Amino acid sequence: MGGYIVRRLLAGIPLLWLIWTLVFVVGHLVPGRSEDLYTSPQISRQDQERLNRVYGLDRPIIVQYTRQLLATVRGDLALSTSRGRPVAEIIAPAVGPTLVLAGTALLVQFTLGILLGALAALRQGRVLDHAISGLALVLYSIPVFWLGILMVLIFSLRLAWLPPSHYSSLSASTAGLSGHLFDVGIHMVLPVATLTLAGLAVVIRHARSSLLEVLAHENLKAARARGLPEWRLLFRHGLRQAILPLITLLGLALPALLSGALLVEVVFSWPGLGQTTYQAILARDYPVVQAATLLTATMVVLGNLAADVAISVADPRTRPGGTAP
Amino acid sequence: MLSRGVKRRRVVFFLAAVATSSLLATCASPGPDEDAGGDPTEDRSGIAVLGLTADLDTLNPYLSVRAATRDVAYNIYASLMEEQADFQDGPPSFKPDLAQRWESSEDNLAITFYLRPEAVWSDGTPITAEDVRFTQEAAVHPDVAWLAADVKKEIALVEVLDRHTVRFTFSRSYPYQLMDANDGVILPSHIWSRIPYSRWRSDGPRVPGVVSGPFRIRRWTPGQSIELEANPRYYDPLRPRLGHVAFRILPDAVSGFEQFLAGHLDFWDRVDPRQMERVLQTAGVNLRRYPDRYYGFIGWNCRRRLFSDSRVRRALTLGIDRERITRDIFRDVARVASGPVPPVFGTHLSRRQPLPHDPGQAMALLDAAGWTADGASGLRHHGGETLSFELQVNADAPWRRDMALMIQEDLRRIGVEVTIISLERGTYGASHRTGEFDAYIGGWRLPTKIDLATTFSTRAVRDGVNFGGYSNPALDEFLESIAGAPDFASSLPAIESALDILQQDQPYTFLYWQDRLVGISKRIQGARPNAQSALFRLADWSLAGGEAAP
Repeated sequence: MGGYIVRRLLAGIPLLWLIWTLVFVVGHLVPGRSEDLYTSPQISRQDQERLNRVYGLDRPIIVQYTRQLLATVRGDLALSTSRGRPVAEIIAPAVGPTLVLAGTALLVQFTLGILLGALAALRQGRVLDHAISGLALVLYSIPVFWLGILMVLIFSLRLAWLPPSHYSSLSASTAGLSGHLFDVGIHMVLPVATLTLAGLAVVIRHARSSLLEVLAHENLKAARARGLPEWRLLFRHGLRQAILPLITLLGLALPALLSGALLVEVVFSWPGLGQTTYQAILARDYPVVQAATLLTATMVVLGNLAADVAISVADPRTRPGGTAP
Repeated sequence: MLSRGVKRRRVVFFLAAVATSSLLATCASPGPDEDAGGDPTEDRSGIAVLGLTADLDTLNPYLSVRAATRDVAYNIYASLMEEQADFQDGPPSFKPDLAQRWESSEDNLAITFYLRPEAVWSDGTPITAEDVRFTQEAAVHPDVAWLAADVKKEIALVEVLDRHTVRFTFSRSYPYQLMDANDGVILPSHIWSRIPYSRWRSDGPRVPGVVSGPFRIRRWTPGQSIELEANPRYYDPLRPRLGHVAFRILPDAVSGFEQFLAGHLDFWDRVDPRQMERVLQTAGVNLRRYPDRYYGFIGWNCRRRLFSDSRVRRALTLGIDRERITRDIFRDVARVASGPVPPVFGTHLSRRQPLPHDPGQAMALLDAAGWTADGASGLRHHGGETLSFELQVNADAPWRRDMALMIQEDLRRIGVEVTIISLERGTYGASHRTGEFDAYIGGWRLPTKIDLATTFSTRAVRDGVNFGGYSNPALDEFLESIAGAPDFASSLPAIESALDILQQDQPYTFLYWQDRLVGISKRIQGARPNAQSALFRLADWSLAGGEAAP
């Protein structure tokens, strides 16, 4: 298993390089430079060119590419052209909020999705099944940013139950550790709910179909015939067998979740990687865009690897060189 | 061998630990009183909460490209003088700040500033003339690459005469010498001189936040908020009156406005004219309106054959009903512009009448220019070419799209076909810089001095923002004369003549001069937003009822 993980990690390096290069090329093909965002009669062309020289933007593209690539390999992520600070100083504080948001949403999404999927499978063809499937379809059809705005309008601005944005109150830092944690918690409710609901349909559908497939197996039919209660049949035997496709889905859900987090972070002014990337794209701040993309791509690669490892653990037959018991 | 129950408990414990540690990772430093029980609800007592649409980029304003940084920087760093908002009919006046007085030499080529001996940095170090000299050196250094370095180009020498006296020598005498000497805040040389200029950007974030202004940084949580607190070492013991100010970062203007109305913010300076009614109907908030240093225009690409003829440009202006634009889009919070100098710079410069909406005269001018109407389509042609062009707007300004639709409709009536192109902000900006446009709707926020050269001179095609390539040697002469005038009064005739030429030539169709709308909670007292700054003299603001800082 150790060799397999190392091989997978090594295979990820060219992939990450490819993604990094692709972002660089696409970024430089898009019209516009950072200065186009703040052009003004108050800024002379000479001052602008001087700033471009400081950032190396006056160099040929191939030189910029080589310098940035070498700097990235060394772990030196260059300077942000829109914030005048090292990229690392901008990216690092954004990682935690995104991990918390996406991680919590992933947890809630899968817990809720599997539960609703199981309920739908148990009540196949009945009202509850149709209601859950209908709900899933509705959620799947709603754009995530619109859902977020709707949440803010209803729960924050109309009902005033929950904070509309940011991840903490101004007074939270003086509220003690427990107060601060609680404060972060209530700020997470709406963004997590938005992100969860946006991807919930896929989990419900996968869980339902996997369980229906498993429940149709002969051994479970036999267990049901022996009088095993339906819930026990489902949770003790059914879910265990249906878990493999769900773990695969977990790995695949990560990229969608991180891209969904971008929109959610913008709507809720959540200071994560998504918000940082979005602002950097608008500002044509390529060093930040590349670093954020590289980091996100690394998370996705590692997430997929973790999902594959989890599948190998759950089902030894899928291990490299593994055999059926 | 562990039992299944123990294993399960361990898994649950592990998951709980991961969740908790992740949550902790997002929390900013929770302050010294961690053991106190927390109140989870937002407690804003004693805090003035102001909305910002963009985060700071850096705490050093000489490295910044964002206006938000300027708003905050001018409250944490002091300048030599405080520029006032009275730049109508001449350069602004100044009040003492770090300099308690100043005097000009007889030939007006030198200004000597006398610093307050009692002024100290927030770490207790005295503020000296060396800080001023060092800052001026940094402001023009190529490695610092300050975007406004151009304003210092006439300053030939900055000399330290004694510990609290510094002299600026200029290469020539002109009306804005005080303003240019004062532009930019003063930095602590004992902090920033330790770092080579070439490393200011990379090492700057680790520099201690030593400041001289009425406020100091209490906490900066990137992407969330910037909190300021009173600087106890500020030279004026009576200021600031606010003990705690928080800037909440809300990049989405609609969200920011809604949060202001809902009472989450005390100040929001991006009120759209179409949102005015809602502010007026909301209890607990006031709406302030003031003339802005801003004008909106259509920029014509004079390199294109169509727009190289000033008769065509003038006809297009005459064909557009700009009154309707100011009324329907800006709800009369704007007025039709006659030129690039808004009324805030003095009524005498903006009193010339704007060109009227006169479709008849517009059509006559187009006929004279050879663009004659085709009976079938109603469109005009000349030498086999149809009178049509693309009008660019930036997609993040929906009101410009609405404006473009009105313009399209108006010009269709005089036989001109307009195709509206909506572009993402960066692409929109790039097309102007590269000259790849026919026409675009834009707007300029001006400095507090009248500077027509950076926009309309022939030199500005290369050095400034004359993207349309407009050139008129007669105008260039007047602009040279304005630049060379020793004082404002003697430059006025040339300014008037330049404005006459611009009105005649119409390199831009000057659309509107807009007033700025600011929403302020009734909790805030003493706020005087004006064309100088929406946050003008923030140190004099206070909270109603004398709410104390927490």
